[in-house]
Parts: sequence; structure tokens; C-alpha cells
Amino acid sequence: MNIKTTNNGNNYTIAIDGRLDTTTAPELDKEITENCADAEKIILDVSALEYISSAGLRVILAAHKMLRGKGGLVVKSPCEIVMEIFDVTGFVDIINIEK
Amino acid sequence: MEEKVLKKRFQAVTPQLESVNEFISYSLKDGAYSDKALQKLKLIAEEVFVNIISYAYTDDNGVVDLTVTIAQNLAVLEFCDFGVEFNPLKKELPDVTLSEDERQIGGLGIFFVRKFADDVKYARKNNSNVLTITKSMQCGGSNEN
Repeated sequence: MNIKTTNNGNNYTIAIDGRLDTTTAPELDKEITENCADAEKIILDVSALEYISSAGLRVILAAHKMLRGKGGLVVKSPCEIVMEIFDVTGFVDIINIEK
Repeated sequence: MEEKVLKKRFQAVTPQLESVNEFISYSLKDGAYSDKALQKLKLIAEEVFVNIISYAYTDDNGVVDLTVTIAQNLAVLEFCDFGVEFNPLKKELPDVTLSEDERQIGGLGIFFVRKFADDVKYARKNNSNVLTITKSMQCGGSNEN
């Protein structure tokens, strides 16, 4: 997984690719909680993400809660496989997902 | 297609996850399976492997024997560990319809295993936990999970 973060003030865009799994999820968690600690809003661009497991979902839910009451978290452009994971887990009802 | 059986032992530590994935890719390299089916099989494998690390062993000295059997369009993953007795099928499944405040994030791993596998069986044999997961790898049709 590669992480690329850009920001405009307190609005961050984090683009990730590859696999968000047990071994890589802590890297994204660190990026969000440490490098984007002052974020008002985060757009998580997952268009190049090929795989997500429960460890990845855990980080996304934590980020969503961190930004609640602020600008929020937007998960952008998931592929079909990743979208199905959001669907079956009910994450579609919790997380703001932009197709 | 003839039955193909491959077996490998892994240290029960999370950095080994990549090797588990490579082993599964290698085991299925001769079949024409959809990306979807392969990703789901790897998702099942990750969640089971991580569960074993979390529940079966209390230190980093444990091992997991993974046997992959491919027969026609079925993939069977057998995970065997020698840790404390742990039947993941007895774990309560999370309610995926709850709101974010009520939501428990734990248990999603085993939820995926049960959701995407066609059959999951647990047995305690000779001081080991044996979890056998069968998944149809067929392309198309109702079984394309």
C-alpha cells in the first residue's frame, strides 16, 4: 500500500492503493491520527485500492468517528470488490461513500 | 481437473500474512478464477490467520499449518494450529445493521468467513484447532461469491 496525502488547510485528501489489510492498516491509521490530526475533513481516495479486510474497516470507522461533527470523512471511488465489502458490512449506511 | 493438495507451515505472526497470500496465489495459479473469487478467498484466509494469532497463541512462537486443496471448482482451506481451544464459529456474529454508535467492530473477520465461504467446519483434534473452509471458485452463476 502507498499513501499519498495532500492538503488545503485543514482539508486533507489521502490516496491509498494496493491492499488495506492487517499489515498495512496501522500505516493508514498513523497517517490519519498523526499527520492529519488537525483535519476538518478527509477525502479518502480508494480508487486504486484493490482489497480491504476487517482491519481496514476498523481504521475507516475510527477516522469517521474522529471527524464526526466536523467536515467528515468521505470515502471516494471504491472499486467493485471494495464496495461489496462496504455493502455486506452495512458500512454504506454509516460512512459517506462517493462513487 | 485433478485434485491438487499443497501444504505449508507458517509462523503465527502478522508479518507472515504476505506469505500466506502468496501461497494461496501459487496454489490457485493454474485455475481461471475471477479476481472477485480470489480476493474473497484471500480475505477469508487473512481473517482466519489473524484470528488464530489473536486467540490461539499468547506468544509469537506458534505455527499454523495451511493446507490448500483444489478440486474442480472448489477450494478448501484447512487451517491447523496447536494453540488453546478456540472455535471461531461459536463467536457471536456482529449485527451489521446497527448504527455507528451501537456498532461493535470486533467479529467482522469471522463474519466475512461465514459470509463468503460455502461451508466452514471446526474440529478439535489431538490438541489442535482445525478449521476447514470450502469455497466455490466458479465464475458466474449464483455461487460467484
